[in-house]
Amino acid sequence: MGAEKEIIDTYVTAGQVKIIYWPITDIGPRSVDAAAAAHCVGEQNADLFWAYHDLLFENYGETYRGDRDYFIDQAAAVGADREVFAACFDEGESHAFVRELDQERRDMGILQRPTFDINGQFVYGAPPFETFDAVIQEALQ
Amino acid sequence: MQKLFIFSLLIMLAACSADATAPTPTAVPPEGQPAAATPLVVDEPPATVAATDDNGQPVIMDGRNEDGTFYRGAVDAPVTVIDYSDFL
Repeated sequence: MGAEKEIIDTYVTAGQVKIIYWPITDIGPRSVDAAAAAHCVGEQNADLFWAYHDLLFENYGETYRGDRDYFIDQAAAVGADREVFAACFDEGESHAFVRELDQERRDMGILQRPTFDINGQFVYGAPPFETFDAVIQEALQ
Repeated sequence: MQKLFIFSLLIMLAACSADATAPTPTAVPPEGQPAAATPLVVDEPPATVAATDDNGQPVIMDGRNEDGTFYRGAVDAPVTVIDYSDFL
């Protein structure tokens, strides 16, 4: 989400916008692993979820090739407990939860990656901040 | 008798004049106690201003929804952006 930082700086810090992350796992088992890993980190602390979210996106090339050890190392890098994370990741409940969310968005007809639902107004792909800005401004009226 | 009346009148006039110009007494706190602070007049912040930390920097609230998804921002923000995306 290239415009995310501007949305955060402009609207989230002002208390006008809340961002919810909903995983899409179209690229196979690694997609599920990445989203499940983020949820395992979030189980420890919601702040850590977003730190991990940002870290995985910033290093998407490595994340694409990431294995269990990579996800554990990244979790430790944002301050999560390594052992607790590994137990969560291996246990599989987060993987199942992520698959449920993925199926739910398919059932809602969200089929394009990425998709942004802004108070019911949909934005597709990765448009510039100005596109989000216009939709958010309309939603704030 | 007339002198006494004039003298009394002068005393009364002097007393009235002194009352009119007397300064308002300032309360002095008991010894060992700090003086009461002057109340500050602070403008009420607008309702849309986000929380800030001790350094005045905006604080982004992170949390988890009942459905298990995670959010970033004020829980009662008027606009919600649901980001459906893949980490890869």
